Amino acid sequence: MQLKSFIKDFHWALFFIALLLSVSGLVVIASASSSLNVDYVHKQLIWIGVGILFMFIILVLGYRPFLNLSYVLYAISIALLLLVLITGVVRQGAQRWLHLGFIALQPSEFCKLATILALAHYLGGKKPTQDHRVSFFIASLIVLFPLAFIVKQPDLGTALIFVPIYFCMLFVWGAKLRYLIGTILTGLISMPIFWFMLKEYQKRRLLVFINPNIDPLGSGYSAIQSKIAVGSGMITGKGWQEGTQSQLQFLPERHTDFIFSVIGEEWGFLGAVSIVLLYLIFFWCAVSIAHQTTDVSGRILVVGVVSMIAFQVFVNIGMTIGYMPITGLPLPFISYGGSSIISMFISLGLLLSIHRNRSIF
Amino acid sequence: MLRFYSFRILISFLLMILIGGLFNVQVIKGAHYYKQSENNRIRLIELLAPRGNVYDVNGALLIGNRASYNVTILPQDFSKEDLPRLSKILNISEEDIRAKIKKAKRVPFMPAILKRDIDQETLFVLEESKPDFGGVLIETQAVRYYPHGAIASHVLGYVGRISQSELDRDDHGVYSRNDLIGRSGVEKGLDSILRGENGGRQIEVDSRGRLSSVISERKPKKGQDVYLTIDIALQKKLEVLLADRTGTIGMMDPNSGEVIAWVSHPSYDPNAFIDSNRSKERISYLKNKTLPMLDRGLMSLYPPGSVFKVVTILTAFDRGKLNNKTTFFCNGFFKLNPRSRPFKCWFHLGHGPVNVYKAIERSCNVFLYNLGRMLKPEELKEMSMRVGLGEEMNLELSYRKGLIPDEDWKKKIYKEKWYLGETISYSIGQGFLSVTPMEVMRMMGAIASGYHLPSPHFAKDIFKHPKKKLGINLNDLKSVRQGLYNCVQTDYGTGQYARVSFMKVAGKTGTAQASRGEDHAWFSGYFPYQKPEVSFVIFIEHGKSGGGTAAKLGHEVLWAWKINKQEKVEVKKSAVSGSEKLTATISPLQTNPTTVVHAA
Repeated sequence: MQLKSFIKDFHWALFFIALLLSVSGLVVIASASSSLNVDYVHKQLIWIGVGILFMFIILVLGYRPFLNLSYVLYAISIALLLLVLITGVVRQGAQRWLHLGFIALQPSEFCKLATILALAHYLGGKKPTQDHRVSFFIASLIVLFPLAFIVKQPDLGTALIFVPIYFCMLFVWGAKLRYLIGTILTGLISMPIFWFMLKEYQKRRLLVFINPNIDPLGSGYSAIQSKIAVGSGMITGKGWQEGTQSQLQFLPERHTDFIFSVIGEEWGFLGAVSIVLLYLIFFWCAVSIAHQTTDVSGRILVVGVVSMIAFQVFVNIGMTIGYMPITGLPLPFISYGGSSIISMFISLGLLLSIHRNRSIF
Repeated sequence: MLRFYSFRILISFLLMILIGGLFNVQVIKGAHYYKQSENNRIRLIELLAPRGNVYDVNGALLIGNRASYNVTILPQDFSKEDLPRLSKILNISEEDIRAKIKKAKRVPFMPAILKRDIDQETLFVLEESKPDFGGVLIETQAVRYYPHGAIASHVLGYVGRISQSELDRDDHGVYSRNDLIGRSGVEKGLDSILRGENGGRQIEVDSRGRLSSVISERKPKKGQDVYLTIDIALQKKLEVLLADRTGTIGMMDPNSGEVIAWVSHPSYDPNAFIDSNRSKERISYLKNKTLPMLDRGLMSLYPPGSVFKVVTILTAFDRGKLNNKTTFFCNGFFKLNPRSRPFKCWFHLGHGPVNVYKAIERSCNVFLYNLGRMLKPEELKEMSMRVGLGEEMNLELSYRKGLIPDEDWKKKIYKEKWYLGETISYSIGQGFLSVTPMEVMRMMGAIASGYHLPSPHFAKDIFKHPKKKLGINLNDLKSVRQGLYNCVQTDYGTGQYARVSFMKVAGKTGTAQASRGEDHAWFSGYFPYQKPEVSFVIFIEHGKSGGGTAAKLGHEVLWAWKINKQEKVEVKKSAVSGSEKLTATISPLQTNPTTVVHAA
């Protein structure tokens, strides 16, 4: 009986789309890493397995305990961020990694989720009509705190993702528009301060976005080569393992950050758009979950999770065609990487659980 | 609900932008990019920034750059038929070239270096035949040049090519694959300042692999120039004096902490690490048993011997165990109790009654043994650290900290308790205690200054050197200084060989037992006695006798300093008199016209 209801309440569409994206990712990783010596495909397969395990655990436990524990998770993830700052390993000029013996963990990835949980929990308990100003202020602090640590690391991409998540969640909660606009203005005014906190190579990356000629050997080069790769795929693509840009190693980090360039080159416009459309269906399904649930926290949680994934997709794909600066954000469900894959499946677990428990309240 | 719909629309809109972008790049401009990818002729040339120059305190060049020409190759643009001819011109075997091309293919579209620093003749031949070679480029690169050779080599250091592990470890964009990195001396310590910012160039090549256009370029930025506190003229004189003896000579301004000369022998010529033809010399430096690469003044620990007696005396003063009138009788040996083995004084006939002045002057061990018996190792350690032994330094060069033992240390290392006999050895600078010559020079600088612990440094205006208070009673210091004065200036003093006619000098000799071989010889102090300008250390490894070897050398060192100072004055004078002459010729013009009328 229970199994039956489980099967009935399982959002199959959402799960299959995520699975389809992950499998596509495996296929692309296999092509992109064919000239590399590491077996990324098997490793990624393990990550996906671990991710699905996490997903089911959350589905069984339900999302509620996570919301109730959200402040604790939030505190832990901030403590982990601090730990990274103190002991973390510097990879590519930024301290983002925590070495736990056998794996390197990226706490900022999990901090995103913990912050979304904490914010959803907080906003779900507050009505926009009462003490609006105080609620708005505290909600902003909840986001600002981890944001500061992540900027310090510095992980510009993740930090930039926090901003739209924050706006979307507060917007759907019902924050007054003038407050939101005020926050944007404050952010714009404090931009120069933010600028000085950036590391030299990050400033350069941002400047390169405006003028790729500044750094012909570094990210400017990646930007140009990535665009050539995606464009040269034309409508039908060059075929699996046939992408000259990808296979001849013009592209850096082509199994992680620049994986979409490989998709664009080898699968063409049709393949690339299919991937984008899969994401679109995924988001529509997810948003309809939010629509159906009666739990305010749950609804805001969905908005947070969806905006996190959506903006990550937007920044990552936008980067490969020169619409966005190069920030090093993974493509959800597709890019190689344990922390990213696991956090994506945890997000999926939360969405599925909200769907399953939509009418409890 | 309105907001909810807006959110849905926003998300959909974002993805629509992406689809639009993909349509633009892949469908509209697809053919254009396809063509670009088909013959991707963009190549990356790295432009390494020259490192900053290094000058001495008077502006003399210590480290500079010269231009060198490297032959590089773009593997995908090179045709194998050219191999025999290229091999002949460059005098590299074809196999070597092939191996290098194979290695270079791992990072495609960036040229790999085939041969560094080619001579002028090869350059001409290559330039002439260049149109025939596709994918062969000549790059100019600034190469390090050390005009003074082995002089001050331990201070200056040398550079080497960056290793893969260093490349992986460091910040993005700071280092690149072909980069140089400081390996020792200020080249290493001030690497981040001396190194410039590398530039780069994206070029497009034609079908034969020759440069057709520069797409974009970022110019390299030269590193910052650095001025050292070293006086290279003085340094040279001292290097001559130390000659082929193994040891160090150092001089420092105790008021500012500026090191004005720093000699360590044997030494090496840093140019050997730059010139690829001098690999034999390099290997001999690295394998030589005398360790010429080692800066003995900073990286070697030695027992300080009697030089340490001033610390024991300061400790006893500080703990109220000693005053100016305290006298002990020296009959040539000392026993902790009637049955224990005697600790000998170096003067076996005995010094008779000894007070603190006489103890320093004649370096009486028995006086110190008596103090040592009253002191705890912790107390000696505390005072050692106060005068800079075993302490941190804000130094541009790599250094080791002295080993200053105490009971805890011994328990931790040997799992044994501390014996009183060990304190007795400790009091005369033997036993576990070991320090660097730099620390001894710093200690003498502290005694000379009286108010603060100097922070030794080699570069002007790079690191901050806040003044650290010494916190030692001035009267205690005065007594020690008087003793140090007597040591050189009286006919009983152990350092009397160092005495010079032109000024009064304070110093202390040390003859320290080495773990094997002859004793080490120390002489360290400061001058002029009344108004100290320099604290110095002279250390000769296995030099047998502090008073005999080190202090004798000290005499010549003092003269070298004096002559150097005079030469400087003369240079200045000639410059001044030159300008005087100049004003003399100008002055008639400047004279008031009315005066001229009067004179007429």
